[in-house]
Amino acid sequence: MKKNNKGFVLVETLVVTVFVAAVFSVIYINFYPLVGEYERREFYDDIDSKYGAYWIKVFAQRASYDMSRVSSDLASQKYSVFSCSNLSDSDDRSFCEAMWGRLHVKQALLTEYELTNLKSVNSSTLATSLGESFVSYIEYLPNYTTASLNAARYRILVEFERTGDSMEDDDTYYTYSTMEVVK
Amino acid sequence: MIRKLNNKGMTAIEILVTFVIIAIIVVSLYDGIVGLKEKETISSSKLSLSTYKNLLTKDIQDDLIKTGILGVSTSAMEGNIGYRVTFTLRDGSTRILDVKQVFGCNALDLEEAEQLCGQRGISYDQSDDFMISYGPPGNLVDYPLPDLGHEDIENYGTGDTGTHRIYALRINEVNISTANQIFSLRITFTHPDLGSRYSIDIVSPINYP
Repeated sequence: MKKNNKGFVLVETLVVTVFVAAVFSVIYINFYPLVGEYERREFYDDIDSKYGAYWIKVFAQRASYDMSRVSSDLASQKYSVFSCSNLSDSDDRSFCEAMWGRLHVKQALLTEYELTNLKSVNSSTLATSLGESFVSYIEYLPNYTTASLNAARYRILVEFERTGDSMEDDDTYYTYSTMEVVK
Repeated sequence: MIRKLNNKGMTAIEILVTFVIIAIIVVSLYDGIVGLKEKETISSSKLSLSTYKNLLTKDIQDDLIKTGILGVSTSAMEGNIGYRVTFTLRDGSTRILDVKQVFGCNALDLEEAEQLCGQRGISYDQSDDFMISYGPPGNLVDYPLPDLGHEDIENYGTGDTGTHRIYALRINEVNISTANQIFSLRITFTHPDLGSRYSIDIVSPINYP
């Protein structure tokens, strides 16, 4: 049998090179969003958001917070928008409003402790009222199916609107955190 | 059987194309590796700064949340080198937070030193000196800023042949407020690679039952 010792011609080499380049491009295109996702999650449950959420939780736990509205909201839409105006005590309300501004809270939600019902709501419906970033955070969270050690029945989810370098005009970013509410 | 060998070798154009392809691959790999190295350095700096921020924030917030603030007073540190915040807690104890903020002379030549340092009253051989300290009176714990790179700069105009040190990570701004019965403190850091997004933020109500 005659052995083929000719090796590769230039065209063959080029075809293989183009093929390998195409494979690398596909890998890069698929991998790059994962890097973005990782960088985005840097802003989930950071220490400032955690302590910020703690104070919103404190106000939600106050006896003067109107829970009848929360119950009806949870039954109809699976979440209730937290508002300082739902605090009937004037001291609580004024502290809450002052902290709300100083902590740069954009919005806060009261939900059931377990998030299964909230997550069952169509995400595009949620995104319309809460924004896509907030919905991404909700999807990122576990369902919390194990009962709370503190017998918490509710949960608070908070979105903070922060600014970074004052030198840049468009440098607003959002951070998120959650805490259980013992009520 | 006499086997006929292919002794033709490669043509000049084939060798040239091969070299060009290899050169392109090497250059793109080099760029990629340099980029990864820079990313790794930035990630490491972010991690160090986050760890520092988390540690300090937790130590302060633990006191403020567990015990609660009864009152806050702010004054300048002795020698006007920073700020002193004195917390009176609800159990009657006191905590002190010192933020030392001394900017060094970050100038590369005498002319720049006159403009950047002379006009601001900064000595030409002044090093950066930043420090945050926190604790009960007489027992303050120092929290030195992580060293995320530094430069030793020659002294100018003093006849001194020594150097002074300028750090990449500096305390850029300190904002303290007690308006509306809410204490808020923001210590903003600045770094050439990280910008000024990183800050220590403490917010707590004053005398909230």
